[in-house]
Amino acid sequence: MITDFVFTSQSVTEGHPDRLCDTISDAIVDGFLRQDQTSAITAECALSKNVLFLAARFASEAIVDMPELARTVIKGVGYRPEDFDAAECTVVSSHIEQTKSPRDIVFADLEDDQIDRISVAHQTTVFGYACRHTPELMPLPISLANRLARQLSQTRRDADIAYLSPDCTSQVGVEFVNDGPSRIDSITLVIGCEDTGSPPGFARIEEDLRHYVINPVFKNAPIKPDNLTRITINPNGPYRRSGPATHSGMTGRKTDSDTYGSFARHCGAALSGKGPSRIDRAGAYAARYAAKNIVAAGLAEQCEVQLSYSIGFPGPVSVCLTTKGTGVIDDMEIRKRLLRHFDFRLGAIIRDLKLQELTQSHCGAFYQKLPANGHFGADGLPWERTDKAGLLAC
Amino acid sequence: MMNAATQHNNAQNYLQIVHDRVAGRIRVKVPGLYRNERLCANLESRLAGRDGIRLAHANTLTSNLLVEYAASLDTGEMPQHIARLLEQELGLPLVSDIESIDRPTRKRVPRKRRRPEATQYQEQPLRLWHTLSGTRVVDFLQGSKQGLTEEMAAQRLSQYGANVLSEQARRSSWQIFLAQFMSAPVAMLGVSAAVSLATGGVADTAVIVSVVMVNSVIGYVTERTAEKTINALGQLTPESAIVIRDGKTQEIPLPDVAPGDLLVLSPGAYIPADARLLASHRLTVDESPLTGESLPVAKNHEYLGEEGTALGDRQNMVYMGTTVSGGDGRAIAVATGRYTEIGKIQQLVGEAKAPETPMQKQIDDMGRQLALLSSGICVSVFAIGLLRGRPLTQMLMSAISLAVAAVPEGLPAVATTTLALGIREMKRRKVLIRQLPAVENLGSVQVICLDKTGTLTLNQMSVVTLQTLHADIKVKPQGFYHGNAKIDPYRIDGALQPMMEVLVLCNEATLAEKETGSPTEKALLQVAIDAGEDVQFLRKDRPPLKVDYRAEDRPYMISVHALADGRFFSAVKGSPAEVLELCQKCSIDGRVEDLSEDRRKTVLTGNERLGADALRVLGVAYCISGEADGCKRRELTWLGLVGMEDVLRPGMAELVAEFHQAGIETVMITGDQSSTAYSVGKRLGLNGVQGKSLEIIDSGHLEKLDPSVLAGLVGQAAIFSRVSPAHKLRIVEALQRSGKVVAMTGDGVNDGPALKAANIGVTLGEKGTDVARSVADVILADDDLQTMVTAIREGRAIYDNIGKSLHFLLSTNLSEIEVMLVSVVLGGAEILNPMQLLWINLITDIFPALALALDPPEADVLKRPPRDPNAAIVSRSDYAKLIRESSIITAGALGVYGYSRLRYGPGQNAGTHAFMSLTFAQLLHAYRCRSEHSSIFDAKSRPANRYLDSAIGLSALMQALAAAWPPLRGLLRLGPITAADMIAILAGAGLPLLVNEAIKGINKNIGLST
Repeated sequence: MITDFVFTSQSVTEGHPDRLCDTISDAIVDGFLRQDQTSAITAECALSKNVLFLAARFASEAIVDMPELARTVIKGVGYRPEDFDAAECTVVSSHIEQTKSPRDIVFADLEDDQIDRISVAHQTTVFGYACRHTPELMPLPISLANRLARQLSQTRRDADIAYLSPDCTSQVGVEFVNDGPSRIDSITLVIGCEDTGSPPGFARIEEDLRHYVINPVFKNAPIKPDNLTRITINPNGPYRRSGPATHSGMTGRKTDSDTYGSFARHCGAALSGKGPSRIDRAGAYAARYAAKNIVAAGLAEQCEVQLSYSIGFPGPVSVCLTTKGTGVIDDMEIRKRLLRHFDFRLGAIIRDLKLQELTQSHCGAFYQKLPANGHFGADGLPWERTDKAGLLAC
Repeated sequence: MMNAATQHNNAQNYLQIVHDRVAGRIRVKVPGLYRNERLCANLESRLAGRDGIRLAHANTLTSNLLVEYAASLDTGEMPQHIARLLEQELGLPLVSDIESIDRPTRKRVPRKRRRPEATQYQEQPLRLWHTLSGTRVVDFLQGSKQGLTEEMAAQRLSQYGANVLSEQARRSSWQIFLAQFMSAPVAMLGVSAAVSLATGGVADTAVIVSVVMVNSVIGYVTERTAEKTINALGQLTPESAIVIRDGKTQEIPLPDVAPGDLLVLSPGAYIPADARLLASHRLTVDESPLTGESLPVAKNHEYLGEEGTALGDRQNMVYMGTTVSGGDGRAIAVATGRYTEIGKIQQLVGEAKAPETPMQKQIDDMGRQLALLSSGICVSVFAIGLLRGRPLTQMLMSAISLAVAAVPEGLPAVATTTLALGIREMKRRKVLIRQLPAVENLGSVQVICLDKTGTLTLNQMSVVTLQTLHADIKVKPQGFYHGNAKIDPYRIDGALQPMMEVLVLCNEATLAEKETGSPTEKALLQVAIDAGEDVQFLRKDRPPLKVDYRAEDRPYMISVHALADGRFFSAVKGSPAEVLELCQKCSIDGRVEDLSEDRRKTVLTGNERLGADALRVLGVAYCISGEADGCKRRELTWLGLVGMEDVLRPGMAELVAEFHQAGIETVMITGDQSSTAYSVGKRLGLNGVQGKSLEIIDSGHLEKLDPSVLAGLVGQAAIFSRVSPAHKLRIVEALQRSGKVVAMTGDGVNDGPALKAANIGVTLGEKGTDVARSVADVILADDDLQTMVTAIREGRAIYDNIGKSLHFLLSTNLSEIEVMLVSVVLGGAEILNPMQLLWINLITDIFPALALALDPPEADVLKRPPRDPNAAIVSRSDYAKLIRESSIITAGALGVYGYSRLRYGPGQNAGTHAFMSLTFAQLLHAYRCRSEHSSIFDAKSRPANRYLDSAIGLSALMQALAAAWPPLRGLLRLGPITAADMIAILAGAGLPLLVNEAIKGINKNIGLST
């Protein structure tokens, strides 16, 4: 088994069209849940030049002005009007209204037998993962790539670098020795440059990015870039234009940076744009919750939890996990404890993680923050709690 | 001296900045500078050394003036300063490039005697009036606070022309008449007439010429009647305006308003010209004729716009054609007549062109083809005859008779008459057709674009819900409802009576004969009246003492009224959240109680819900106190919420369903935001069957979208939201680009170009503006969109009927050709002689064809999808069918001919019997042509056509007369007919009908198109 290797993960900033579509889709989810927490909603979004396509299927009491919501999100990203103008773009929306199903009820106070009557409506196998690379128990490569992306956005918002466009990508290569991260092998940043009159030179871009982006990210990091770390910035030259004017976007095309940066398996389904009753979203959060608590309990160095759901069943038809040999006790035993303390039925996930109430309890904006801030690893997310570690440990 | 400039300004009478991008210099084009050394020297010397100008250099060849100044002064104001200096010096306005593009292009219209003034007037100066301060505007126009003097006004009127919009050109009678002769079949007949005249066939010539004349006269009369009908609709604009002249307020005729006139604006006034506001007090204007925006727009004379400010946002301007809905003000007219925004739009309308209608194309094509075809056949019959050794003159006569028989010269007449009769029928059903071809276009409409405001809705606000803390009441046209029960509102909830009182008192609207007030206030007053308030009594009983209007920092209105007992009643209405803030108490079923936090929350949630449901919501509160100002604002009593909307007309959802059933897609166009549009779209069922997605295209800037992209997007869209009326043209064009036949409704001035570009422009009669009505193809006189269904049914039926007539004409004419062909091929005596051919033509062509054109609509006409506009009215498979049917008829006639020839030998008798048989078979064939879907065997399921029965009866009678009446018999050279012959003739005539109908039935059963 190869234990020394380099692993790369990549991420994009909030102004990347794919990420933008994710954010818009989740803003629509928030829009519905804000008015009616029992809403069932699936929203998808695609973007090309100055046309935005929205498709929403919903059963809800809420009335949501989706195009307006989308425009607000786009405006918040802050493209230059010549790249993408929120007010002037055309929004084509497709609305399919459905009647509410028995699934679309308030879950907060449901009893066990009631939960049993709520079956999933989609078939999916979802994964959750956690490992000891970082304090938040995420794989180091994606954690760094996401942090770089967020720092790029922050830098732009603070207006530290005048020419930085909202559409950038990052990639981090981490060298593993004996299955543990040992040094930073490479950092690649591709940034969009906005025309500010005098185009910045390469040297200036590199200096700015080191100063405002790379250094802050690695300031308190245990592993920092060393002299041999290859730092590449805009290998194809500075991009004059960026954002939706140059490339199109679509919901659910950045699932690897949404999850574990391909370090662990993830379900191919998009997380964004789906309401709480979608098991492919709720399940992924529950699986992460489980995996993180196992690692936090000290039962293993890393853990991947797999949940499989079939239409018509209230809970998973299969619950499996692997610690890849890092478990301090047998994987079978871990699973036994897991099943004892975690309820993976759809209704229980929604109830326990409060998926219906999150929007309202976060001033009407919860899900739309996930694409940019990270679905996993960020503070304050209910599935990032380690409150069940104690139960699992004994 | 400076008049030199204005003398040379034929091409241009304004200054134009050529270049001002470089610091320290500006280049301006000065009209009249060309080769004018005097002006050049003058300008240079006058400008040099003034206010920081370093150098002024005028070029007499390029007419450009270059002014250089210290670059350090280039703070952005310098170019403007110089511009102003030049304006003063030259007395000409400076126009930016953008505005000069907007300038209506002046077409060089050849002078007509009727309107000699057309090209004589000076063009009016164009400026970005909304960017100029009021005093500058007055200076430019040399107006004053006293208004123009009568003298100045007269001078300006002679200088700039009367304040009238150019009228749409009308076709003259001669043009209509001549147009009737411009068709290929008529030309063919003309040639035949000439030939037969040359060969001495005077009788034939007379017959042919009279056929042509009859057709043309019918066409002329019907088309002219249609034009007259439209022109008789009348004008709607008021005829006078109120202005200040010589310091006196006076009423003058609308066309006498001149630039510089001071307009007096009061509620209800029609704004007679584009004008810059000089004073205003809470002025609001209904600009819907111009912008389609149904809510009144607030105007303010203090506002200053920028160059790019959109028309609807120019708060310091009022525009011709709009009306004052509230407040008052003064404005100075800056543009009149053709130079107003409405005038410009009218010119734009002149430019958008209407596509040629499908049937025009088809009938033209077919006329040409058939003329060619029958010429070919005639020539070959003639040639074969000559080869067979027949005499030349006889063959010439036969060929010409055949030509007359073969050309469906009845076709244009039948088509025109059918269309014209259709127009009359539609007029009876309140559908006014403005363009003759529109009738058949109606039948092929695939998409209908519906304007929400005014078409689907009534374009007036109505209260639809009253929400107190005690009850939730729905207001419908039929009354007040609580749940599903109709109720008396005052019995259900004690808070409603004070609520209604507030709505009456805190309200400036009147519902007298001349309604005034904003739509919102009118709606509020109406609901109070419906609830049983006596407005006049209440207002008299509690006279207003003080009114605080809504203002920027006060989103509510308060009025204080004296009560009979000496106390004071304060009525408050306004933005719910703010009004709620002012309340300490609330009324629960009439009892005043504390307004707890929970109750506040209930109110706010209710407000949010109503808002999300696309309603306009107001909060209502009151207070009674001992002193006039005693109502400390925070001590009001909350009454409830009032929700209003521009309600849908009744029956619209059913109408949309009918369109869908008829295979017509519906598209709603609205300026609303998309959530409102969605809820309306859902109620209308625009997505068709439940569960299908409802697609909305939401864009305030459709012009930014590439037309081909838009064409790709429109396919599925059921709603366009946040669209301004100016974008309708783009939507129509995009739909047409995607291959659709589009109908568009609209009644605003701005709708003009879209109505014209649409295949069918529809406007509602009573409300449509002149521009809309003049370009529309269809006017629904009863103001009811439901009538559109009638229009489409009639349109389809008429097209069907023309098809039936055509089918009949072609198949019967073909049978004549076939008989004649067989005759020459067989040799020997002719089966039919020329006079018989002309006779058949006379009695079997026009009348049955006309009667078929009057066939009532088939039962399933609105359940079929619209026909393919590209499909020919007679397709290739139809030709095969025509040949089949005509051969069967021919076979019948030839059968009789064979029988008779065997019995009597070749000669007059056999020809006579074939002639009789052929004529009757053709007459009976008309019944076959009544439908492509049903046959004579399903007589019950199809409506009767009495015209056809009479026409066939009459024709049969004439045919019998021909056989029985000696003079006619002589002319047609007919032989005797015995009883046995009669049976043979009837068999020869009847069997083809049975066979043809049987084939139709068989094909239908095996699923072939018949």
